[in-house]
Amino acid sequence: MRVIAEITLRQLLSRRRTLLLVVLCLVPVAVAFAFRLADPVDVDPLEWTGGLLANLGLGVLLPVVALLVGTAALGAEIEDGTAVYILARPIPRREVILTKLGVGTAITALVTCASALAAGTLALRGADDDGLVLGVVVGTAFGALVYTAIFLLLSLLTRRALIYGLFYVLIWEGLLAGLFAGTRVLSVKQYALGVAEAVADVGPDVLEAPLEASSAVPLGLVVAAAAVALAVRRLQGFNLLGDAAT
Amino acid sequence: MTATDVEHRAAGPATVAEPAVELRAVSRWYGNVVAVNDISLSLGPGVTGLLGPNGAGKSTLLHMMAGFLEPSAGEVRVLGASAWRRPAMYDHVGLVPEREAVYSFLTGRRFVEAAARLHRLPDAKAAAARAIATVELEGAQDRALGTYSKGMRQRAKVAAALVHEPAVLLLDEPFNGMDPKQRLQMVDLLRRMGAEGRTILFSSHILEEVERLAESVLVIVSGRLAASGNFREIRRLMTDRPHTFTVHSSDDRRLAAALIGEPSTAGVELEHDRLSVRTADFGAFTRALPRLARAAGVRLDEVRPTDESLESVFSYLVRRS
Amino acid sequence: MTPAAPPSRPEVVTPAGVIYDIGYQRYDGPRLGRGAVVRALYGSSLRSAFGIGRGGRAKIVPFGLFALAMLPSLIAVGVAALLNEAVEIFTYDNYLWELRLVFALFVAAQAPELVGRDQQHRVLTLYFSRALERADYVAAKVAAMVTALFLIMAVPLVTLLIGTVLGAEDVLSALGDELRELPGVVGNSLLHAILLAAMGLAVASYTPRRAYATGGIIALFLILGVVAGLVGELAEEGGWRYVVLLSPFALVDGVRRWAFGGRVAESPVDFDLVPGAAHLLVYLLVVAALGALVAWRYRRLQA
Repeated sequence: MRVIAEITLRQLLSRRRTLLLVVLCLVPVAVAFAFRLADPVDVDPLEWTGGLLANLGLGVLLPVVALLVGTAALGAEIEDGTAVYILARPIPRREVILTKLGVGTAITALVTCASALAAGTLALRGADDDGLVLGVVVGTAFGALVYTAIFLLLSLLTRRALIYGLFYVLIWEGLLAGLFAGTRVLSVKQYALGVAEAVADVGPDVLEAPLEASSAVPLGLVVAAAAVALAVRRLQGFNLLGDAAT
Repeated sequence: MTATDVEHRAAGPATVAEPAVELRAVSRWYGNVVAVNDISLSLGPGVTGLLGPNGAGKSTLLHMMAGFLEPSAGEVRVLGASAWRRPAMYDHVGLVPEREAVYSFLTGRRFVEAAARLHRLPDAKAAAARAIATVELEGAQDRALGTYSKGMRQRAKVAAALVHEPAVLLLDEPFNGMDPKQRLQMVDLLRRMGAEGRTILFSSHILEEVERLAESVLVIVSGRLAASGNFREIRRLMTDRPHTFTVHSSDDRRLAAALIGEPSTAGVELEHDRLSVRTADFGAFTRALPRLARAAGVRLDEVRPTDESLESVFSYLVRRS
Repeated sequence: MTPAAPPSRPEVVTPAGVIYDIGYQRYDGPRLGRGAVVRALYGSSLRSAFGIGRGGRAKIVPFGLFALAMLPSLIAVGVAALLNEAVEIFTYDNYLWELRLVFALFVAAQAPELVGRDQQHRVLTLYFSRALERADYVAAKVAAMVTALFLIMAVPLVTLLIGTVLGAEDVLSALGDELRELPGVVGNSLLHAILLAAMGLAVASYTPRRAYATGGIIALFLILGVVAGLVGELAEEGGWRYVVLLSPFALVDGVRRWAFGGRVAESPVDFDLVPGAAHLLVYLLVVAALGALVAWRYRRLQA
């Protein structure tokens, strides 16, 4: 629905949030620039760039941007009460969720993919012969979809979606993934890495993705679809007064 | 509590067999706090005021009617079906929320047009223009909502809620932030819409507004329905409380002397130019007064109940519960 | 109660205005003064850092993180008690480094609770109209944040210490050994707490929107850490090697080692590349700069 998409877009791209997103996205580019300046002889550019794109871009930037965008796509309206102007209309809730997801994913993907493209191209001096940058861009876009779906659902479940989203990213995908390999099956970061590695033509030690694309893609899609279905269900009977009344 | 019917004048067309809004033994609690306690009522066409002190459960009740809150018990029916989990209901229902936040980046016109589009109206632009004209906001329609005053924002919200000409309009504290002139305009608008046969329910904690606008009231105290119906009627039903009348006549002193001998008179007070009479029996007194006046040879110029203001009714109800 | 009219005109019975005596009394007793205000603000801020005094939901995040921080030490103690065998995964030296994400999350979640709420609800003016200077407010908030962080770090470490003593075969000699570690444990926690509090409050005090503050703080920690790692790989000599000091947790780990010795944690601290004194110097500069940033904000802020 176009109206919802327009409103969501303008709301998400408020001056302060846009500024924050732009600053965040410039960080990998700045690091890539530092790499060019330092011009080290004993560092393999491909491996180093893989680390940059995987650890900083895909590992930090993508979840942080998706969190800022995904939890606000509907959450900001719920918090300030303007959601009622969309919800008190005869619009199927599925349509509301899908529109919000679409706009949120588009912004997240645009911002993070542009950053990855710029940083990767800069670090590799424009020579993306192995498709590393392309792979990371595709993986990032896939990750943007799954992350945004999860965080959109989260914003319907709790008013503190941001902090619980950070729990998921830092504790589950960060801390626990280092200790228990099993958590990787439910890790969006690993799905995105899996896709990136499949698209790119690089060795296994550049991106170090533990999941094959053949399992990463279906797993990611199932997680995203489940999040959407739950979000729709949740919105169908949504208590707009919220927890504020309790 | 028994079901209470709020009767309205017969101006509205009877489009549905069922009342437009009906609550059947509805309760809502948050944890241990009961916000709405076993309320049954039904609303028909016309303007009804929802009155109660802050925290009485007015917003909870309105949110349940608007389908944004699930009743803990009982059923809320709007236009013939449950209000919960039924977005299709909004085809015929409009809601003006209490919270002030709006999309501050949209102009008034875009805001109302967006509402019209979300209702899938065939000619959204025309509908929006009509709604904006109804609330007399044409002058500011191309400015961003963020620059609006409270009263203008309130009118923009109302325009967005009636752009699809709903049969049921729910307004949560619609007069907040409006100046006296804007209040008058809003009163006119709602009264007009009520006369068109729409069911209009607005909440307020300011009695003067309710008194001026509503043909009937629902009084909520501590989550319970304390009274409903025409408020003068409610007042009359409270027989255990003395009524006071102010009387103007050709000879107040002689009338006072005659009245004091009448059993239904509880007290008479004479001030410079008026007579006030207290009575314990409303019916008997209103029958006795003309008879006594005629017998004493006094012409009655005006007989007016002095404490019929909603305020006195309200404070009585609040105190009693 | 005011006398209605001068006695010379007794015919005025009902004056135009009357002030009724409804029992208000002036407080003439001693007042507690600034110190007490600051202590009270410190106390309430410390409690709110753990969600105490707020609803149950406000406690989930701080206590959840506290539980996560405790978990490894409790496991170590439990294993030591049951198997009579020391587990050496977590030591005093690497404990805080390994769990750094937990502490970063704690400060990202709770620093905005401490300073963001007052700005969001515009109640600063109420504080500053009391016997409380702006500097006092800042001092109380900083002290509360440092204390809260100190507790969430020192309590697990001290638990680990107690567990190690109790699990030892010769308790008395173990007690002597482990007590020698105590200054390092306490000092290390304090060093971490000061830096993290300064970073968190420097970001959080600049926005009333708590969501932005939380996002900003966590982004700062993550990005600085990853950037330091990436750029640190680039060169082992020249100016680039100092980039490693960008990582907050590596920086404070370097100071710890410089001050208390001990092994290097998994952090990229290498005194052969960057000397310990440089860590200390940068640490002091950063803390001073962040403190100034917070003070500057509150000097300028329209209450």
